[in-house]
Amino acid sequence: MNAAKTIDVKGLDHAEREGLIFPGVEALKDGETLRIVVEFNPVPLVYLLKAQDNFDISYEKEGPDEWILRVAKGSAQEDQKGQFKELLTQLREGEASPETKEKARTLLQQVDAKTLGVLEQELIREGVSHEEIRRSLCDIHLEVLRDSLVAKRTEVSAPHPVHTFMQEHEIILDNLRELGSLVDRLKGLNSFDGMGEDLEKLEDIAHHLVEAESHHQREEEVLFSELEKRDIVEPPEIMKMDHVEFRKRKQELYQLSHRPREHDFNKFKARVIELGEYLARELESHIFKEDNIIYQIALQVLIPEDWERIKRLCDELGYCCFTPEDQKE
Amino acid sequence: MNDIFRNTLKRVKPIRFREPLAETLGALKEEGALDYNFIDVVKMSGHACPTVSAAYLCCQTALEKLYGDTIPVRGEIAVTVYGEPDEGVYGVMAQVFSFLTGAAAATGFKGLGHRFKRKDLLRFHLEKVDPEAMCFEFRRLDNGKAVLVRFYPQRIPFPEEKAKQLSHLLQPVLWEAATEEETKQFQGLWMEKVEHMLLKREGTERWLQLEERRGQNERS
Repeated sequence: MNAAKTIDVKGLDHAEREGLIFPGVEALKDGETLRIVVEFNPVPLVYLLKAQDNFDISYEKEGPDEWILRVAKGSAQEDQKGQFKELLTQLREGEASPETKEKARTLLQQVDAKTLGVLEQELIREGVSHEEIRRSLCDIHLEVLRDSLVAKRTEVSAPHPVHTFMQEHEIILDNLRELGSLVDRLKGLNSFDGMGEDLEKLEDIAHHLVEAESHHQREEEVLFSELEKRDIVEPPEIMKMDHVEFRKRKQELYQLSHRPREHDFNKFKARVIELGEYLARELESHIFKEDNIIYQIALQVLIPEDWERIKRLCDELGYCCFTPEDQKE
Repeated sequence: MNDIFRNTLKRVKPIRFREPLAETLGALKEEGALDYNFIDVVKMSGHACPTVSAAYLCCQTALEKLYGDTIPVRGEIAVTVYGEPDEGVYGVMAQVFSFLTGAAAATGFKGLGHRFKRKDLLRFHLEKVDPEAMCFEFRRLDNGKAVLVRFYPQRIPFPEEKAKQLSHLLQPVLWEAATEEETKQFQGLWMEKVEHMLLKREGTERWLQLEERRGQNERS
């Protein structure tokens, strides 16, 4: 057994503390212990480390002037996380080879949604931008993680808020498939007259896309806010950034669909194709991440009383016009 | 000063107050009454809507009951909101009450010596007095007299067809896709409801009800 290493961060500011603690924890080898000395109860840190499963966390001293946390790296968990991060890096750098994808798939048999969320936070701390993670994880999730994440998914039934969110996702996905088909048909047309019923259909699709704002609002103001209170900050932040990107494009598509003939057909066509293809691709990927990562993290960390409160707050904020009636009350 | 508000909103009866704090500190040239107009509330809220209108009328009606022919005194009125600050539109209505009466929440003025304390005169209370109504109590601090106001938003009269049109137009307006005509139609319907509440006052007793309360320290 190695002697425990001690990091004393008393008196340091937040960034300085993180600059010492996280590298220290990261450097721990199996069987090693790190003592962290802080002048307040480091609850968020305890949560974050516990979420990673491979540390034993205990308090050696609990106040009043200092808290000493003992972080022991468990021997049962190997450096699965490190391997996964390496794979993420490879996938981020370009087209993943079939071997890399297969390796990732095998590794992911043992990684759950919570660990993925923690990984996202760690990558951001290491200087990878939100945008980069958003893009890279999108590719990874769609190309590699799909089967293994879906297999590990916890299902809940109505009227659980996650069930409602997922039911709404199904309807949004149907709408996106219709948008994709419409965009394909539009590619071969030369005038508004050729669009026929598709003009009305586009308006209906765009109407449903902007209606989904109520879904995003419930996520951001209720569900994500509950996760943020528990120091799960980065994954919801990435989802919120997605919402901002979607909102801009949904608004433009909605405006185009509401008053199509005020535009030159070719310009209208080009914009609808670009916006439609972006939304069909990116929103589908976003929904996959929410269903299989964010909601799964929430299901793991929130307790029944939290869900009762979330349900009440969601009821108060209101639902989309397409939310199934049995989900609402 | 620019004057760009709809003329109809200027016709709403003002609420007249005395403001001893301004009198004492010299903001007023002489002692006198201050008129708080609905337009002032619109400036504070940034808009006019049924909720803001209802808050104005709740306050006005309660003060008329409490003060009769005398002038209400800002800073000497406590307001209890029977709801949570972030629940529905309780917070929005509370802001209007605070603006009009001077009753403030925890962030209010702490007073000068023993006078003019506004802090904590506006309180939120979790008790639900009436499951169908939003309830508010206005209480005079000088004599303890109090009234309970029950506001039933769902009972505000508005033709169903117009309500449907309003709801249909809301989305293109919010997403900045409405035509000029649609925008005008939307604004017309919206203000019709607001002006009906504030100016016609027909059937107000169906959605706004008052009852006197025995104040804790009431003196006749």
